[in-house]
Amino acid sequence: MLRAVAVTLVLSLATGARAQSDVPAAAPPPPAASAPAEQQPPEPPKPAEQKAPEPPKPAEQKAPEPAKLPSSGIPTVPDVPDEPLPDWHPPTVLHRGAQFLEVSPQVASAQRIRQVGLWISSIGWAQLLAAGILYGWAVNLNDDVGHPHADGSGMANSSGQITQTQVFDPRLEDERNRVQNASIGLISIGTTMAVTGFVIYTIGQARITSWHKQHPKDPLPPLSGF
Amino acid sequence: MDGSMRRLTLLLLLIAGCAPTNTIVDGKTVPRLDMDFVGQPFVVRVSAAHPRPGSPSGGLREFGGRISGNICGLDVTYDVQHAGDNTHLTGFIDENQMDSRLDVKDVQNISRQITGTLDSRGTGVNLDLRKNHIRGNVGIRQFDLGRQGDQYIGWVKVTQMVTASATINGADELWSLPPAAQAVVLPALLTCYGDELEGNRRGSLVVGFGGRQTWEGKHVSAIYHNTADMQRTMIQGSKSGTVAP
Repeated sequence: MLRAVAVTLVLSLATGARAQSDVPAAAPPPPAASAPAEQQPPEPPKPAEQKAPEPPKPAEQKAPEPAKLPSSGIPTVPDVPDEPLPDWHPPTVLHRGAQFLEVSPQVASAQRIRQVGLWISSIGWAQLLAAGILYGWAVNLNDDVGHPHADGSGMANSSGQITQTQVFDPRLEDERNRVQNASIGLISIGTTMAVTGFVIYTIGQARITSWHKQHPKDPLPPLSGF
Repeated sequence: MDGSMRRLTLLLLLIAGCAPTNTIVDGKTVPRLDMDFVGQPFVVRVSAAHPRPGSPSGGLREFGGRISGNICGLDVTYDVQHAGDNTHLTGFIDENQMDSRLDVKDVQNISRQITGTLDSRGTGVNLDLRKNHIRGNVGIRQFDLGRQGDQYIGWVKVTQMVTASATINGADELWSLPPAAQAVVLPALLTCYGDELEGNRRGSLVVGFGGRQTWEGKHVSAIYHNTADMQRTMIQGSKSGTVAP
């Protein structure tokens, strides 16, 4: 009987020990979940530290320089093997329309506009001058039409004065009209050209002024106003 | 302009006035070449150039002509002397007549090395020009570019803090320039966009050889920005604590 009780006790102890040994095997998750706050913190840094060094390596290979401008991406430098330097031969076209400018193309263009404006305006003012002369001539002819005037013979009378006539001469009137019309035409055209030239000059000057404000160190054409 | 500068200018003018128009190649009298080269943004004229200079380290010892023009807003003028194992260039940059000296030589027919100073303030040039790479520095700018098609692409490091993308278009056209012209144009061209890169610390470097000629304004080159702007950058950076030591 005692032997039976002892066997029973031994079996029960053995079963309990197996059950305890099984429990720890299945139990690890709960403890791991139950005590993560205390035991886990040291662990996450480890994978973080182990994995972190890997990304920087490709980053260093692609862009060797850590500092970058925010506005532009830094391209990868192509890895191309070296080749022998090419032999130099004179180019077939020696002159390729190179422009050696004293000033920037923008200023040169504005200067051309200014010069065109000056020329047009100058021609306009010259026409106004010619129109004034013609108008004076027309006034003189008008006087001749309505007053005694030289008869056109070129002869002189006994007093030594050029012979005059008081007869109305329609040719004089026609001539006066032609000269007067030419004068008025020139005034119109000359005024238009003078004003247009001045406007064009002002456009060119405005462009030079604008460029100079943006690039104050750039050279300027003569008489630029600065 | 001091006395030595004046004498050097007079000497250069004298040399320019007496520049030969012909040279001897293989026992024959051959006319020297006048050539124009353009790009973005530069235009240079190579006058009285040797018609067959070969490699800059090819042993030729002769006057190599003159190179003048405008590169990135810089007025340049150089005299070229083939000195046997290298080609030596002396000249001036811009209206301040800044003294410039450059040497170009080939190493193992792989690398064309351009060294010297771009201006009298000591803007150093140390470029390793290869068919498929351009590396080195011009002033405080450092470059690393590789060839991709007809371009060299890569980066330019302006300061410890600032690195920008860099593109040189017209790689084939670059090699149409004689070595001496390469030595003149490339370093000056790589100083472009000083207003943006050194001044505003933004943008990128995009220059080119061949194609349509463009023009750049005065004083935009990095040689006018290296001192003042870099000091400002350093001061601002040290105040914000971002400057590398």
